[in-house]
Amino acid sequence: MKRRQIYYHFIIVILFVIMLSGCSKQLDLAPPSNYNARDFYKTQQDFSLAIAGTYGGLRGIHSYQYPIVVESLSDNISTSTNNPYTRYTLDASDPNVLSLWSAYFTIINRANNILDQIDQGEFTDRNLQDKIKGEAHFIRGFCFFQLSWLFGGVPIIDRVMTEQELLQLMRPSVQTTLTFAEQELIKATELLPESNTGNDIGRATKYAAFGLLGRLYLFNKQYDKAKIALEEVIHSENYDMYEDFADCFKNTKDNGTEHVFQIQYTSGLINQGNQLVYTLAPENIRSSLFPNGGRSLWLAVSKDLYQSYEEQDIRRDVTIQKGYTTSSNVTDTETLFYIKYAHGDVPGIPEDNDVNLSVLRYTDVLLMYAEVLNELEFIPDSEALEILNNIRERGHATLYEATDLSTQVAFREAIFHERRLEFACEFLRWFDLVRMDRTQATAILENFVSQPDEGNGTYAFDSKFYLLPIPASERQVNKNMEPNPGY
Amino acid sequence: MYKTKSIPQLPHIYFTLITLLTIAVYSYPLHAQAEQSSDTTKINITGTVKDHDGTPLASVTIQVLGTQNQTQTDESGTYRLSQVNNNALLVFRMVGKKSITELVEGRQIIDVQFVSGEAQSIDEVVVVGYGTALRQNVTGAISSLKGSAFQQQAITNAEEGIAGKIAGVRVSQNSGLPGSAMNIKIRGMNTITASSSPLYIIDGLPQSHMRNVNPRDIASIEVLKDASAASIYGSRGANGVVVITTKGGSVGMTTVEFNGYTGFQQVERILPMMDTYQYIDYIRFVRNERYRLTGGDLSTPVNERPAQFQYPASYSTPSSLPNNNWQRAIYRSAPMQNYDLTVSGGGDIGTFNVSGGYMNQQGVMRHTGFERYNLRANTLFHVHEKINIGANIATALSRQQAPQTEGKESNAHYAIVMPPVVGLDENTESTGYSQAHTFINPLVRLAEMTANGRGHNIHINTFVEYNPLENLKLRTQLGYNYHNATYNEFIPFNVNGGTKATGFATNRNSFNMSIQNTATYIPDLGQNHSLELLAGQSFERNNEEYLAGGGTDYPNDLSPWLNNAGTPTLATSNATANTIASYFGRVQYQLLNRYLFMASARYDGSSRFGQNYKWGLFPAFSAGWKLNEEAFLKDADFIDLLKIRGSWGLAGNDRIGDYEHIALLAAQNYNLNGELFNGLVPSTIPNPDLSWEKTQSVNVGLDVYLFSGRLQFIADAYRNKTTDLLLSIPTTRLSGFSTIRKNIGAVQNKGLEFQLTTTNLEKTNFRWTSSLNFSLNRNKVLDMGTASDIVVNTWGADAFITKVGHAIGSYYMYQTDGMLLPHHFDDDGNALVPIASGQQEGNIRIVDQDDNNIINTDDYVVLGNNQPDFIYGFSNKITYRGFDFSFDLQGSKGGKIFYQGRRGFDNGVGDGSNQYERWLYSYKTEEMKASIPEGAHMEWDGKTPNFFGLNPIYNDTWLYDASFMRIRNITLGYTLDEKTLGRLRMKKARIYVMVDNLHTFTKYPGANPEANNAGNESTSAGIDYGAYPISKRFTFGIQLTF
Repeated sequence: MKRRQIYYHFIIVILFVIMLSGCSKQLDLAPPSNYNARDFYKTQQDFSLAIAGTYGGLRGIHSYQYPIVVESLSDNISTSTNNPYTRYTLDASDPNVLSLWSAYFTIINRANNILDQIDQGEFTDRNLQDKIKGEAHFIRGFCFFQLSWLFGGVPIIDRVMTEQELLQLMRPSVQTTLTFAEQELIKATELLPESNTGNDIGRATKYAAFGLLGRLYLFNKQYDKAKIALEEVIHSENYDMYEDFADCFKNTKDNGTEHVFQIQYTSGLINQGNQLVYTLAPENIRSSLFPNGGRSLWLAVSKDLYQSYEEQDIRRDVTIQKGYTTSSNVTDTETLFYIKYAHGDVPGIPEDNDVNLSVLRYTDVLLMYAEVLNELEFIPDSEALEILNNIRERGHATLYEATDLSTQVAFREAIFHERRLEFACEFLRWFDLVRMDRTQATAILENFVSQPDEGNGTYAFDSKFYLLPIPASERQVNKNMEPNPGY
Repeated sequence: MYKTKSIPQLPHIYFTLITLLTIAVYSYPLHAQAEQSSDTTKINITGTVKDHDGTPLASVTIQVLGTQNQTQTDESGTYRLSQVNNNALLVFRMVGKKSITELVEGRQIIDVQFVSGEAQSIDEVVVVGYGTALRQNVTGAISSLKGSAFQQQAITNAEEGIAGKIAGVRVSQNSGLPGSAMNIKIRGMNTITASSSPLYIIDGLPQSHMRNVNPRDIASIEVLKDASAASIYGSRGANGVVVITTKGGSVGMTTVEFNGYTGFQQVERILPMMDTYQYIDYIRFVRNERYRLTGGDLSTPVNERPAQFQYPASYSTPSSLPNNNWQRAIYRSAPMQNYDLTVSGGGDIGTFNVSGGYMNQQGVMRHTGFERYNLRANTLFHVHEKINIGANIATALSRQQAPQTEGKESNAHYAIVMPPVVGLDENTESTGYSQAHTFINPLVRLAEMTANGRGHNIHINTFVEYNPLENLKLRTQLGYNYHNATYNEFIPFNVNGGTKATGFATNRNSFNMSIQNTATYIPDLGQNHSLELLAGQSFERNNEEYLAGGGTDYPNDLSPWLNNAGTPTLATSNATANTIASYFGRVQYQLLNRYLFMASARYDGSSRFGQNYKWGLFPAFSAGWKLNEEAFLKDADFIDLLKIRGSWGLAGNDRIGDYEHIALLAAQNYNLNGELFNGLVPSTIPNPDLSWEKTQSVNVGLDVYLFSGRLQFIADAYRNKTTDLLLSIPTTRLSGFSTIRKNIGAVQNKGLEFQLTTTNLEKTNFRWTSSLNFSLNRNKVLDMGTASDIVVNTWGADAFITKVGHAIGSYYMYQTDGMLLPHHFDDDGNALVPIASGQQEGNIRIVDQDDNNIINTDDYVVLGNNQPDFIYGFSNKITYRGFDFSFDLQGSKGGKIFYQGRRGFDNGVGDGSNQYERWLYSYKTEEMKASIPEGAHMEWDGKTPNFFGLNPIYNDTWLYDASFMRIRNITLGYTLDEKTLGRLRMKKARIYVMVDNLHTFTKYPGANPEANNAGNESTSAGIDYGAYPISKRFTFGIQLTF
């Protein structure tokens, strides 16, 4: 009897021991349904996935926060709706500004992960290695260019850094950041292909990099360099203006000769559609373009913009709709809103529009080129005027006579005016105002908010708004981040 | 096994266990010899146990002292014990009775009778982790609640059952939606960004909540509040532990018990919104004024204004318009019913308790409701004189219908904001939209939308108990818990606001498997020493799988299933797993039945932490001194128990995501040329150093039981300090990420609590008892390391801050000082006091905290928090002959609530949405008076501010005192007397009527002062954005026992 009991005890002790040893191994668990970054950035396929994710970061921000903030700050958007950008009440706690700030740095981090490791990558296709490297430089350069004109100088993060390293960084001058963006775009021009075919259509090209470089130089008033960069694009003969202005904004004409670089949107795939189109239309609209209604009237168009077009200018009605019928059959004859991207296929799900958004159109390259020529040397009735008139002709606007634009200043004003008409709703008006002569830009904006339709002076413009505030939450965690003046 | 030396501490634990076991094994012969020398004869004993009045008592526990040999009496009060030493001591225990000890002295029949009916709870058996103890010997802070304390009420789940009944436990009913979870916090919040929910142990198996247990199956709920009690559960004990024990059967005649109630529920309050006449005046005024401000001429015909400034011509004849109170339209009187049947009994072979329950609660909001089916079988078999095996098997099936019931854009929200001029059939795609507003018709949306949640839960707990020696028990338990939750949603085109019909479905499977081995050894050390040793080991694995799909382009609105969707919009699945390995032990020692000591330790390893930080040790010590056993108090007969106790312990928290120490990648796709371009991006910042959050708790307590249990008082004071918080802190966005999880910072909770139970009157046939509990907790962030303050921005502005020196999730907004009145402006309209840009006369005046004459976000201040100053519960029960009457109050004092829903319906500004009546009577400047429609009465009420201009958000006028006192339950019952019962051949019959939540006394103007429906539970706690109201319940019930 006693022996049997000891035997039992023995078995139990053995069982305990087995359990003890088995358990500790069970504590090392790998996530069953997520990839582990430790094993990534090794193969050609890894880098292909990584660059797709880097491009992917641009899709969301450029179809919502970026257009809303940047277009509203300009005189294109009316102060009639409660919108802190158009009313100039935005402050450092603004959530959309934070989204912009973090989206660009998130994309930069993705590009850094690629660029840190791509030289050690196992590639069978060397051209692909160069292409992905070029794209990473292109996207990183684009993000730093955007950050520098939106926020001023921002720390240059040219590799993956630890939190401690990042918190040591100070804000450099805007020139330093711009120079870094310039070098990135130059590297991209050296690595990127001239064009893409098949399922690579839509990826960045050498000329996309030159075009953005041209824009950067123009912003920085380096007209000589801008001329060279823009000529690269023009002389490539890869591009041409579409004959019909409205075609520039139809999904059926995506990635055509008009477009130098577009952010890609496709409907029918999960989360790849363009949400901007319906975001710009009033919620209660019912029409053939918006059978399911819009999102809000947050970005009501200003009368000032509407009235800037000549009556016969077809660009006005392609860009802006005046009045609409609501779902409860109220007729509105006054409200103005953008429909520029709504002329293509109407999507089944409003936020799933197929149309791409251009970062750089060929028309922009040409207008920038005309501006550069004018800035370098004013020559009456020259190539610059021809470019300008070509663009006006497509829009059915009255053509300029050489005598209309007899000075460099007059021509410059005509260029900026033309850019406003041509690129309304393409988020370039604010960029133009920021780079314009400050006194002139401020006069335009102060005049705008004093108009009876625009609050009659209720809202005041301040020159601090030429730079967006460094987000308050960033400054809470990062004491080195100097605020922008006035915020 | 020595090969797995990656964890160096492991062998120590192994040796400790082996040592304990060896002691157990070797002590046997000594013990046996000792007994042999006196008497080895084993006898079988039977007997009857009676109450003081001679009635036989069932369910009395009889234990052979110092052994695991025990039994219970059957319905006729008889019991049988086998293999008892003929000089052993028998202890007869029953809840609410003073226990009786009898020396066997060779007797084979031992009948006993309890001396009085008075409660005497010092011998109450309290469940501690992995064992039990007598109340009088408990040294930690443990509260105990018997199932009977709430089983007489019409509660729908166990969470509701403990609300207001246990000191130190805050149970908040955040929502009135049937089947919704309550928020349970034990002694405040010990953590900031990890979960602060307690751990639940249901019949020995760890769980994350107790909602699936049928409340009528519960025998007792113990709450382990301090770390000395909870640290036996180690890494998960820091938020407190709720231990639930379900009912087993008892030896004797089979008993059949039936409980049923049925009744109806009504919404507790309707909010004071405008009716049609008021609304029309308000809208005309608003549109006129807005038009005037944009330079419009008020004499322009209304239909020539831009759409946003127009109003329909019919607004000039309000009597022709509908006048609907949308709240009354969507809320109803809703039925509820509950039935439970329990069969229990047992014999020589073992005991059983089999129960089934059905609960159906329709919601007071139309087309909402909750149904639950419960089945349970608890069995225990004596397969051998030394071996018991048993299984507790329970299933729960639940169904919930809850179409967008609360929060922003919900039906509760729309019921408040929907203009009264909108017809009850308007605002759907098929009937068209009202000109007043395009809110989707909540009544039709409730009816047509599908939002079905289903839960299937299987809980299996099998165990073997082996008593190789009388005083050694080895127990192995295998547990399996499976939970499946599915959700099906379909929003038909008709109620989707112009968007096509959309469908969405999810399926979540959770599996929990555990093995647990314990050894309990109670050596016989003579009269003066009492020792109990526990050693154990457990391993647990949790797996979860999630599947979700979505689609659109349905051919029609008829079928809600995704197979009818033409276009898929979502398809995803994922899986996660975590494991916990544990070793634990405890020593309980009592010297002279006077000095009590306890020491325990648990060593836990978790897969959730970094390679070098997986293991943590959680020790605890406590001691108690029973003063009443001392010579100087021996003569004070009126003292049953006077005990002081103190404890120190360390417990942990691992409630974060499963893989936060690893750098993960997530999908971020792009598209090229119309095709998907698959992408992967880094999605988390890894922190390989992630480890436990630790809570150190110090507790002192006092237990006083007087006058044979007529007065019982338990008081505790504690201080919990949590360090190495698992803090998810904002990081610089330059990193490409927004937050990182680190072990950083410290939080303190300190508090006082007491529970007083008294028998106020005790006469023949009359008895009045009451119970009062009170808890006070103060929460403070002590340190956040290098992390900056956690500021939470909610819908457009900051509203919460978590910073050192203040409670977690404190409100952080502008302070106000009345209104800007004409005397604050000079003749040119320039403000003489600091104002925010855009403010005008009649707006709220913001306090310029930094005195720099600029109102901006620098003027934000901390303005209290959602945590109450103290909470209390008060229960009374009076019995007279067959009648019983009881009432329970529950209350909370202090603490604030942020009524954020006001953004949409209580701040005057709303694009046609209905408003609280008071906005008719807002402040208006002279110029604004031109916009008041003719004949309208809109004089200022002296309080409501001007809603034009700017009232900066958020400010303290959005915060309300969340204090409340609720009449939780009133019951009147009648129990049939024994004579009648005998004739009916029943053991018990009781009928009752009951009112739950009859009234809530509060100053809060929203639907529920406990609402929390738009934030989280810590850093943004206490937001109400349109709450599902709490319901009053009127029920009639019957309890029968055969």
